[in-house]
Amino acid sequence: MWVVLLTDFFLYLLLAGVALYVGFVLRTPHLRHAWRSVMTRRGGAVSVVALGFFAAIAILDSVHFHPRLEQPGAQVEYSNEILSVFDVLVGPLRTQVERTYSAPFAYHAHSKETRETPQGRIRVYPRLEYAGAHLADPERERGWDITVRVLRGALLGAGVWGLLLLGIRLARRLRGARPRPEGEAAIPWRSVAVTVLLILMLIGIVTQLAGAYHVFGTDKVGEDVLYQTLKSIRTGVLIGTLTTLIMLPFAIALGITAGYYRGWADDVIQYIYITLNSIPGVLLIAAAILSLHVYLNAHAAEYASLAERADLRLLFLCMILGLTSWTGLCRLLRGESLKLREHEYIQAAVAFGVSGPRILLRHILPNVMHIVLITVVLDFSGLVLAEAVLSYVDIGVDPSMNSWGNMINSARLEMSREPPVWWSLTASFVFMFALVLFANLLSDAVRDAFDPRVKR
Amino acid sequence: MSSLLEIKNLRVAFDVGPDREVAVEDISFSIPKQGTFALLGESGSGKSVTALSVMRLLPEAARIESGEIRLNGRDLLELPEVQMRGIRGGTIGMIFQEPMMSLNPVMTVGQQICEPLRRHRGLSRKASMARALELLDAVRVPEPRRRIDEYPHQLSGGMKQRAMIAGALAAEPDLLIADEPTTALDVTIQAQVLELLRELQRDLGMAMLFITHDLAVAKSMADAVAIMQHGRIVEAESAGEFFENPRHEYSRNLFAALPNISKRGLRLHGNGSDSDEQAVEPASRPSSEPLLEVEDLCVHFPIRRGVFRRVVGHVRAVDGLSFTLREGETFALVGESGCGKTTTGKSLIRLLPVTQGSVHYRGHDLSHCSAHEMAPFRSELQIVFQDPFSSLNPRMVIGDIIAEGMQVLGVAQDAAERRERIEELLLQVGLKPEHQTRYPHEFSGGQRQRIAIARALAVNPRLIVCDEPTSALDVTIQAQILNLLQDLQDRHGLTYLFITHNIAVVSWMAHRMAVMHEGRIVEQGDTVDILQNPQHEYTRTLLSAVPRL
Repeated sequence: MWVVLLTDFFLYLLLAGVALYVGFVLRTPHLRHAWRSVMTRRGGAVSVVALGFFAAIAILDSVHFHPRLEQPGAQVEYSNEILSVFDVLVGPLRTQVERTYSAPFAYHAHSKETRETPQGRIRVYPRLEYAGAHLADPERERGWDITVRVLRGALLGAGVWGLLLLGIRLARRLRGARPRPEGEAAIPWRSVAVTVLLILMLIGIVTQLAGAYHVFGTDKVGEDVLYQTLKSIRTGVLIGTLTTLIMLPFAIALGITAGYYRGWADDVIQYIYITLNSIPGVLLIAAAILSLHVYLNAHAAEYASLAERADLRLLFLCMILGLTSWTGLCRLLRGESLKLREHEYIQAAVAFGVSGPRILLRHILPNVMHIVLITVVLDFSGLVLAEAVLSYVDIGVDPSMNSWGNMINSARLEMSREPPVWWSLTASFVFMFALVLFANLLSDAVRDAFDPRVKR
Repeated sequence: MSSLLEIKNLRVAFDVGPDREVAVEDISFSIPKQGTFALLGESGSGKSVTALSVMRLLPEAARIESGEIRLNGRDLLELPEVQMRGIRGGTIGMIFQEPMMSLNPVMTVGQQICEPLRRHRGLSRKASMARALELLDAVRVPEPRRRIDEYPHQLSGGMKQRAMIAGALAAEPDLLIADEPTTALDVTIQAQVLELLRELQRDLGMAMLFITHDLAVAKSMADAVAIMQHGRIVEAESAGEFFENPRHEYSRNLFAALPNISKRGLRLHGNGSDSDEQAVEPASRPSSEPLLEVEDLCVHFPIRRGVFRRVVGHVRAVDGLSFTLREGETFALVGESGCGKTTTGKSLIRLLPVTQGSVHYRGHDLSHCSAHEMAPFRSELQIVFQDPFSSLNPRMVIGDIIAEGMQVLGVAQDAAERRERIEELLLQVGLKPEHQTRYPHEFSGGQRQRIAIARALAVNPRLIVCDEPTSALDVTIQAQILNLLQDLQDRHGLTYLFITHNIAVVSWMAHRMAVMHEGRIVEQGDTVDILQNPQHEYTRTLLSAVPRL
C-alpha cells in the first residue's frame, strides 16, 4: 500500500517544478545558452552527473509504502512499518542487523564478550551474524575474498558502463549526430563518461561487498552504517531543496515588490526582514521545534507511526529554516529591482500604462531570475551543513531519522570509547563532503554562466 | 623633428572563445615631441585598444601579435614589467573618459595626486602634498587648499576631470594619452578642459595622443590626425590638410553625417542603409495649432532627512516652465546636464509627478489627473529614451517588446492584426520583419534605437518625447536615426519634443527651441534666430563653447 508522506509530496511538487523549468529552458534561447555553458565547464558537467546520482537515491528513498505482511489467510494485511523503494533495493543492507558495534569489514564484534565453555568462562570477540559469515577461516580468507569482490564489482560496473556507451553510440548512429549549435563550446563528454564510470564502478563494488561485509561497519544497535549514510542523503537533499522552495515565494514577492514600488511597501517589508534578521536564527528554530513537540504530544493519536512524526518534524525544520533564510535573497532582489526600476524599458512600460503587477511579472522578474538561481544553488550546500549543526545541538531532525547531523551527534560518545568507534563519523563526513563539494562546484559554474558581471 | 612615440605595424587580437578577433591591424604613426596627434574614429574602431597597447594595459584576452611601440627610441613591448611601471604615470600620463570611474572614491583627491609624485618623483609626503596643491592650482581647481582634502563625490564632473588631469601630469610626463577626456562633460566644461589641456601642453612641452570620436574637438586640438575604421588607419594627415580636404571616402562620409545648420531640410549622409542622397525633402511645415501647452510647470523633489523622513527642503529640478508645442513641429529643449530637461520630458507624460503648474494636451489638463484618467492619453504621448542598451528588456523578443503597448492600450486587438502591424513598423524603421523573433542583444545600438522608435510608434502617438535619442550613438548612426525621425514626422505628422545637449542636432532638426538653465527656460524662439542671434547671456556662453568645424 503506497504512502505519500508530507515531505514526499513536496519533493514531487519540486520535481514537477524542475520538469516545468527544464521545459521552459529548452524553449528560451538565452536560458538554454546559459545552461549549456554550465555544462561546458568540466566542473559543472561532472557535478551535475554526481548530484544526479545523489538526487536519484533521494528520490528512490522518497517513494514510500506499507509492506504487505506474509499471512496464510485470504485477508491482506499491511504492516505498520513504512518502507521506501530504496530500502527494498538495498535489501541486505537494511535487514542484516548485528547485535552491536563492529568495525568496517570486520567479521567479529568490536568488543569482547564472555562465553561459557567447557573450559570455563572466557572473553572472546564473537563472530558476527552476517558479515564474513560465509568464510570458514576468516583470518586467512578475508583479504582474498575482499579483493575478488572488489575486482568483480569494478568489472561489473565497467561492463554496464561499456554497454551504456555502446547503446548511446548506436542510438546516435541511428538518429544521426546533431551538429553542435554555432558559437557554442563543446560539452566535455569525456569527463562526464569518466564520472559515470567511476560511479558505476563504485556501485558495483558496493553491491558485491554489501551482502557479505559491513563496508562502513555497524552502529550501537548493529545497524549498517553505510545504509544509514545512504538514507541520510534524502534528509540532506530535502533540507537543501525544500527550504529554498519555501523561502522563494517570500523572497521573490517581497523583494521585487519592495524594490519596485518603494514608498511605504518598501518600509514595511524592510522592517519585517530587519526584525526577523535580528532574532538569532538558532533561537527561533529551537522555539519552533519545541512548540512542535508540544503539539505532537497533545495530538499523539493523529500521528500514529514514528516515521510520520519524524517526517513532520523534518518538514517543520525546512519551514522554519526557510522562514529565517529568505531575508538574504530578499535584500538582493530588492536592491536589483531598485536598479532595474530606473531602467528605461520599465519607464517605457509605464508610459504605455502597463499595470504594476504586470511590470513586476514581465519586466522585473525575468531580469532577476539569475540572482535567484545563483542564490538557490549557493544556499543548498549551506543548508545541508546547517542541518548537521542543528542536529548536533539536538534541534535538528528527529533522532529516529537517519541524518548526517544525527550520526555526527552520536559520534560524540562513540569517539570517547576505547578503542574509538570512528566509522560513523567518517562515513557521514565522506558523504556530506561529497554532496557539498559537488553542490559548490555546480554553484561556481552556475554563477559563471548566469552572473552578468562575470561575463566579458 | 625627432619623434617621441613611434608605432610601427601594430597588430592586436582578442581571444573570443576558440577564435581570435583582430582589433587593431597594421597601425603605424609617430608623434613628434610637443606634438598633438588625434586618433579619430567611431566606437569599436580600435582607438582605445591602440592607446592601451602603448600603456601595455590591455585586457587579459588581448594580445599584441606583432609590431613595435617605441618611446624615445626604446621599444616598450620589450621592457620588463618592472620598468614599464616606471613608464606608466611617469613618462606617459593617461586620462580616461569617465572621471567618476577613474578616481578612487575612498581616497581624497590629494592622496590620489600624491601617489604618482611619491612613486615616480620620490617626493616625501610633505613635499608631494605641496606639489599636489600647485598642480590643482595649475589645472585651475578653485580653492585648491580645500579641495585637496575632499573626496571625489564632493566634486563636480568637470572638477573631477581636472583632478584626473592633475594626477596624470603629476610626474611631468613626456607624453599624455587622453582617451575621450571630454566626452562625459558638458560643452561649457569641455571648452574649459580643452583650453586647459592646450595651455598645459604648451607650458610643460609634452606631446599628446588625443583620442576622440568628435571631429570638431579633434580640429581644435590636433596638429595631425588619423582616422580609424575597423582597426585600421584609413587616412593620416596633418590637421590643416585633413579638415580642409578629407581624401578618404570614409572621412568624407563622417563629415557628411554631421548635422549642422547649413544642412537644414537636407538628408544627412548615414553610411549604408539609406544613402539615397537625392531625397531632398522640404522642411516639414508645422501647423499653428497648439498641441501641448505647458504653463508654469514645476517639478520639485523632496529632500528627506532623519528617522521620520521629514521633508527638509526641495530640489527644484524644474521651476516654472512655460512653452507651447504646435502640432507637427520639432521643439528642442536644450541645456547642460542637470538643467532639468529630462525631468521636464518625463513629467509631461506623467512618468514623474508634477508639483505645480498645468500641462494642457488638446485642451485636457494632464498635470494632476490620476493613472486611470491618464490612460486614454497614453497612446498619444510616447517617449524614446537615450540609452539604447537599457531601453529594451533583454529577456523579451523584439516582437513582444513592440506588442506590449498595443496589448495594453488595445490598439490592435487580435494577434494576427498585431503581427501584421509589427512587421509593418519594423519595415518603417528600416529593420526586417524576421527580426521580431530575436532578442535585443543581437542588435547594435542604432538598431536598438530603431526598435525603441517602433515601440513608441506602435500605439499611434501624436507627440513623442525624444530624450537624447542619439547621444549614445556614433555620428553615422546618429545621422540615420535623425533621418528616420524626420521621415516619420513627414509621414505621420508627428510632433517631437526633442531633448538634447547637442546644439548641432538642434540646428539641423528643430523648428523652435528653448534653452534651459537651472530648471528654467532662459530663452526660447525660432531655432535659426536663437542660434544666429542669441539674446541671453547663458545662451551666448553655451553657443560659444561648442567647438566648430
